[in-house]
Amino acid sequence: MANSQAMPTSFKQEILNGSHAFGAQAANGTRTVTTKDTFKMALYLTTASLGAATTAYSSTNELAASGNYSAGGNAVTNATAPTTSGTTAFWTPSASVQWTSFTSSGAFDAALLYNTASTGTLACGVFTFGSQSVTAGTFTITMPTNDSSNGLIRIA
Amino acid sequence: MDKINVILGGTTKYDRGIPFVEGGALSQMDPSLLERRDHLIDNEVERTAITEYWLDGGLVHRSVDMHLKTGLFADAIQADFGS
Repeated sequence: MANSQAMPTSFKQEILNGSHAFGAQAANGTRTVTTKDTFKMALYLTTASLGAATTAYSSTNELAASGNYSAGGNAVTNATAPTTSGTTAFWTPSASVQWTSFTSSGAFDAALLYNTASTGTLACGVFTFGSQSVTAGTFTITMPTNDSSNGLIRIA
Repeated sequence: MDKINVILGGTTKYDRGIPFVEGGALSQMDPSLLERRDHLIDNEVERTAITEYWLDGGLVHRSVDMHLKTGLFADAIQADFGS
C-alpha cells in the first residue's frame, strides 16, 4: 500500500457530528464554541498506507524520533478561523509547520493533520507529496494560500 | 560562514531515488568544505526546494522547504429534485 491524499471519511462524519472546532463560534442558535481545538501534523514513511480510511493518528510507520522530530509531530498554528467565499468554506493553518535539525529514518511522502484536543487524536486530512528525506536538516511545510481555491481544507 | 549540521560516518542509501543517511554521528562543518547540490520540484501539488551537502560522495546534510499549492477539497453532492 501507499499513502493517498484524502479527506478521511471519518472526518466528514465527525464534522456533521460537531467533533472538530477549527475556530471559535459565537452563539448561532444551536451552540456556542468558545474554545477551538488544537491540531498537529505528523510525517509518515513511504511504507505507510494513510488515506481515506485513516481515522486517527498512529505511530505506525511514522518517522522515528530524531533530533527535533518526536512522535506525534509538531503543533499547527491556528490563528485564523474558518471562513467562506462564495459557496466554499475553508481553513488553513496560519503559519508553516517546521521540523529543525533531525534526520529522517527513510523517505517520507505524507503528513497527517489530526485533532489533539480529542483523546482519540482524530484524523482530519492526509496530505501527500513527492518523496523526501532529511539529513541533519530542516523540513518546512509552507501552507497554501488560504482561499476558496487553495485552502488546506475546503468544503463546497 | 556559519557551520551547518551534518551527519558524518553514515551510509548513504536510496529509497525511491531519494538519498538518505543511515547511522553516523551529528556534527557541524563549514559548508564551503562541502559540495552543495540544489534541486527544485515544481508541480501542481508543491513547489519544493531541496538543499543537499555531500562529502566524498556521501550525503551529509539535506533540508527541504516545501510549499503546498493546494489542500483537500470536499464537494457536496447536489440533490436533484426530480425534473
